[in-house]
Amino acid sequence: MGEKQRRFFEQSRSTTDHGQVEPQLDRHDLPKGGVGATLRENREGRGLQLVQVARALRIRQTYLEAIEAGRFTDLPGTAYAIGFLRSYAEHLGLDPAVIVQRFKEEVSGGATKPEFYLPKPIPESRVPGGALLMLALVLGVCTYGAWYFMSRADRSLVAYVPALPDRLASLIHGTTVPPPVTVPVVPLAPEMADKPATAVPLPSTTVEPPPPAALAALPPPATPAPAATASATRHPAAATPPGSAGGDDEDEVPQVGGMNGEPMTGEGPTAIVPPQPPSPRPPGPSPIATAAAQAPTAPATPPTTSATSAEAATPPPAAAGDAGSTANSRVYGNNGRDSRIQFKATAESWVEIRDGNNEILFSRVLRPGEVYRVPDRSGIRLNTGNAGGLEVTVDGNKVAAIGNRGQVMRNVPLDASKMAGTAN
Amino acid sequence: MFSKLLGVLSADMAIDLGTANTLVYVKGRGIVLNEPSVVAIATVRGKKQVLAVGDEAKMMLGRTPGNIQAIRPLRDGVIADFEVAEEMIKHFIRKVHNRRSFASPQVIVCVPSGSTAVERRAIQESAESAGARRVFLIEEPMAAAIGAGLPVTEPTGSMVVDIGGGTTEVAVLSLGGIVYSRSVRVGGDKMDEAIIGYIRRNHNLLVGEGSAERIKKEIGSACPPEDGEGRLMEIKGRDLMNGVPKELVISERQIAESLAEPVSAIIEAVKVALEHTAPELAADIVDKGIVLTGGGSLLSNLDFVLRHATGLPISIADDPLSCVALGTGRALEEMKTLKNVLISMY
Repeated sequence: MGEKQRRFFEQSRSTTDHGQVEPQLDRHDLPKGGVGATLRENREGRGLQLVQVARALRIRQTYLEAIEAGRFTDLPGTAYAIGFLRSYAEHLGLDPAVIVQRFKEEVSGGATKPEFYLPKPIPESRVPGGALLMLALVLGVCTYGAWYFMSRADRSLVAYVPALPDRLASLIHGTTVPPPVTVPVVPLAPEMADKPATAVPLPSTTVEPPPPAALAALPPPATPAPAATASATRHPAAATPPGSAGGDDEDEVPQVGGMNGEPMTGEGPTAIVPPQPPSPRPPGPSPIATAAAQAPTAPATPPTTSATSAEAATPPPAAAGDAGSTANSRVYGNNGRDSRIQFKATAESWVEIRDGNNEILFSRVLRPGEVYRVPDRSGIRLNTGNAGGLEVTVDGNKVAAIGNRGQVMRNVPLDASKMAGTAN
Repeated sequence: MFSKLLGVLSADMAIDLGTANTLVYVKGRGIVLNEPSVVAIATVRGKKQVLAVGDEAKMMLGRTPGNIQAIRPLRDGVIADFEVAEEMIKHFIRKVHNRRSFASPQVIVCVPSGSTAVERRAIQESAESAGARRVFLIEEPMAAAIGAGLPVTEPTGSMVVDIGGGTTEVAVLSLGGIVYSRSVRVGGDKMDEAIIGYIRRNHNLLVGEGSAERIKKEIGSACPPEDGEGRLMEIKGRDLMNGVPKELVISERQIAESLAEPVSAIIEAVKVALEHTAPELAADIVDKGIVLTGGGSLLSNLDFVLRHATGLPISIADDPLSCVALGTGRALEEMKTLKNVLISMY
């Protein structure tokens, strides 16, 4: 049936002039609407039902309806839409090329070609290599950086300054401590020297009591001293003001005594005598160290000081003070022989002395009160970490400080004659 | 390294190396060449030289003197003559690049889905020795479906029938892959042969391949007309009885009769493919139908015959002759997206 009709139309189309058919279509149908309308009109003109067309072309009726209504998006795709249109047009005896051309013009801008998207296999869940590696790298760098920084910070100080426990330090101080005790308090000396030799712990109890008694009387008259006691506590062994420190120092003092059994006589004097020519100094302006030095002497000289006023007492203590300062601390460097420059620490300061050949002669942290005597040679240079913490004396005369507190000075030439010029 | 450098200088190409025609698509330029796959080779002092390729060579087909051979290097969709095919590809690459040398493009060549590994290797090596830097292969039905604009990457079944010169490819595609494909070595050539055989048997007239092709294009039909003889055509050839050239008139009905065998082979292939289609895909195909591509789909009434045989809507693709080339070209343009529809032998 349909086939016959189709044949007929085909033949009629092929026999009739193409030029006649096509322009008619175009002129006649374009203004009215889309391709769908044209097709419907032609179908209705031929008296065909949609069902018949659908059966002949095997195209679903819904699709044909969509085509006629111009709902091309309802078709399965552009490629199929064109195919259906071509079949439909051919079936109705229209020129498929014209219909398809018009369809393309109508949907121009619409999706002409399908977008391709191929699903990609989901990558197996592995450890994200790149990210992890990066993280590890950053972490490693951070750790190394932190370690390097910390270890470097440690090295700079610790390498040079071995920590000295207070107990050990006190032992070392002990060597210089006795002199103040022995020298001024001559009457006590034999007693101390004797008792430690026999029994160490016992003398402490026996020796101690007297000074407290002496000191107890002392503080009220010696008013400038209180500051001295504060600093004196830093050297408990030597400068124990028993009144303040009380029984804590009980075991320290005897040790001092015990240790000093021998050095007291031999080393003690040598260490004390050379320091510097005794220069009478007013106790007020004198640095803390000397004031501290005064403290221990105070008990030693109760008979004199307690009797006199603070001012009157100064001259003798000053002399004793110098001796005491060395007693409190160690004295480094060559022992007085050919030394013109002397550093005395008023605060902890690192000192390094190099000679002309850049060889380190001395390098350590001077604690407050400690003294270093510079050998009298040419080309000696100083490096220090705390220039303000060093009190410089040239030939016993105090000269201007090398720098400010906390200032780091490097390669400071130590020339006694030049430095003497800066004396104040 | 060096080849990569040359790659910058050369435009990537997609080649539809068909039995009848070779189409070349150049990236960014579209189809730039469409010529018959024919090479004319002249023997000059015992040395073979390419005389002509393409249209020019096709004119010589069947009209050559002794020292010239007009060869179709492809038979049944695959290379039958390596050297000649290589020469032909080389010629096309050069023609596209407008220069003699320094062309080393990336090339996608399509191969029949039913081709063997040996045949694929042959095509790849020919393209490589013709100067291609890298050769990818794409299966013809996939290229045809992409070229026809079917939504091949969607999870919906599409059936495509590509009737080429040498082979007919029937394939069901979904999700960017071929679900089922069937390749029969029936195509335009077989139709021509059928026409030649029919005329020789029934009219004792020998016609050439070219004439047979012309007859097919003019009055060829997949089914005989309802009534009468249909369109008529004068054909010329050599009379087998008395050996003189002769001219006679042949009708559409007669040609339809002669084409019955290859057409039924195609129908059979489609039917078998449908039989092997999974039910879900079959359901999709019932709705949308089958799309015909390739030169063979231009045979009049083929859609009609297939519609009757399968009961499915049959659509002929827009521009069926260049579908495969367009699809291969699209694969070249969207190489990243369509990477896994390509076959790489590296």
